[in-house]
Amino acid sequence: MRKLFTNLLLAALVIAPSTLFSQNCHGTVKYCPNGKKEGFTYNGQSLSGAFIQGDTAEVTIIVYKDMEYRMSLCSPTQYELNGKFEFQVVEKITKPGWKESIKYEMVEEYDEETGEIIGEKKVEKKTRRRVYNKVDVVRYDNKKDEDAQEFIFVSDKTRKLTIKVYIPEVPGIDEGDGLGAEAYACVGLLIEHQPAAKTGFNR
Amino acid sequence: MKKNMLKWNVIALIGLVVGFSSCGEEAKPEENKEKVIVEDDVEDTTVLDIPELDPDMAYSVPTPNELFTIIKETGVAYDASVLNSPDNREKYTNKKNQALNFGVYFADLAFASSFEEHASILGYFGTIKVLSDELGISNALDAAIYERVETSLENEDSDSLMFLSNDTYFQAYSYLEDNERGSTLALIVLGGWIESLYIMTNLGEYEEGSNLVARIGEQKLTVGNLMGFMMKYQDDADVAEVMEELADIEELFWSFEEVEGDDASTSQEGDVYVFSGGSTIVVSAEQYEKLKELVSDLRNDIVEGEL
Repeated sequence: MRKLFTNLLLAALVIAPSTLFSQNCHGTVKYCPNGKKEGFTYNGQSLSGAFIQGDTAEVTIIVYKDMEYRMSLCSPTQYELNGKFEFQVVEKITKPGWKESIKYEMVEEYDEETGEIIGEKKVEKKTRRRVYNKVDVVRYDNKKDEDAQEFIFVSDKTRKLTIKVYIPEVPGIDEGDGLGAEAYACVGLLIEHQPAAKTGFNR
Repeated sequence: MKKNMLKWNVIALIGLVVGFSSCGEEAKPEENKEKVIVEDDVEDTTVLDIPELDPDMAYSVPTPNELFTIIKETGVAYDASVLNSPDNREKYTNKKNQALNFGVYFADLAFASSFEEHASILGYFGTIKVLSDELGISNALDAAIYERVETSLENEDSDSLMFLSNDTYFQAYSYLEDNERGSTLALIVLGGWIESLYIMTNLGEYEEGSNLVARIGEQKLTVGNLMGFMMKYQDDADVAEVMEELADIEELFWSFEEVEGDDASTSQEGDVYVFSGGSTIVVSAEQYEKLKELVSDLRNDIVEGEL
């Protein structure tokens, strides 16, 4: 009985840190510096998560036409990561194209002189179909914007965007053996919105 | 060996490798699989645009608050008659119906808050509070929320009411994630989305090219994210059942045509980036009427507690 208890305790000590830590990262995004002073409101598509340095994560969001968005990243648990996040905003765009297919058919073969049927032969028949492929278009890359950690944008259409986030490897942060809580960073992807300013004449 | 245990909330993201090398200001294709071949026998066909959902991707769904902020801008008028009456709350006797209608009432609250309909707001906050007790998530909500709403109503502070509405949703959402109750969350999100669609499709008749119809058509983008979000919880029997009920609506959305527009481009105006170009979703009158019918059927099953 005592041995069983010891084994259970050991198992709990191994499993607990990662489990507890991942749970504790919920709500991380609430601690990220926000744009409330500029009129932005918290957007429910914001996310929090536990990550190891060097990892990459992707999230798909919907952004509406006529809305202005502010996007930023923070880690309240690993300050060394702040200012070093890399992220891209990617959109899948539809591009028209052609798709070729080849099929073979048996056709009657004629004698060149008499015109009589002398048998059958296999001929190649090519067809092409109109297809619409999705290609990834990078809308924004913070590495091309002096590693900016916040990004404000508007869109002329409602769109589906994928945010690709890279958690940098920063020297000095103890990565432990990969099992301890110190190996993880709580990261928040804060998304905020406000109605976009209207330009032009209005009646 | 480095152990990869990643989490975007309850969603595990494993082993994603991404190259960060493309240009920021100019939109450029990362890959182009187009192939143009000139041969005989040309057939012109369109491949249905059904997305492949990636189990390692985190899918976010916009909240009703955000949606109705946009809907208000289309110029439609507030109509309380399309909302679910708080009196129906007593019909919801099991967890599935309570969760679905928590989402429904939250969408109704978001609609009323967006249009500053103060008379309706207190009733919906009260109903949400009772349902949160029944769902066991009342601890998540600010104990003083009701008093704060009353104060905001007395002061006619619409910004504060929108904030409280948004914050209530966030608190419930976070609490359910923290407590590994993703299936309840999935039902709430679905209930909120269906009610939002129901409200939108009952605010006006079909008018080709109108802002309202355009907004409804754009929900084709959201339905993909919604299904991606719910997929993670489909082992739960209740979630699987409502996903099945949603299938006809989902398939109808996939049939909405996407018309190609200008090439994708990104420009900058001061500190603000502007995304332009790409496709527009077009809805026909027949599709609109069919959507209205399917949404109405599912929504009525939900609010009658018959799902």
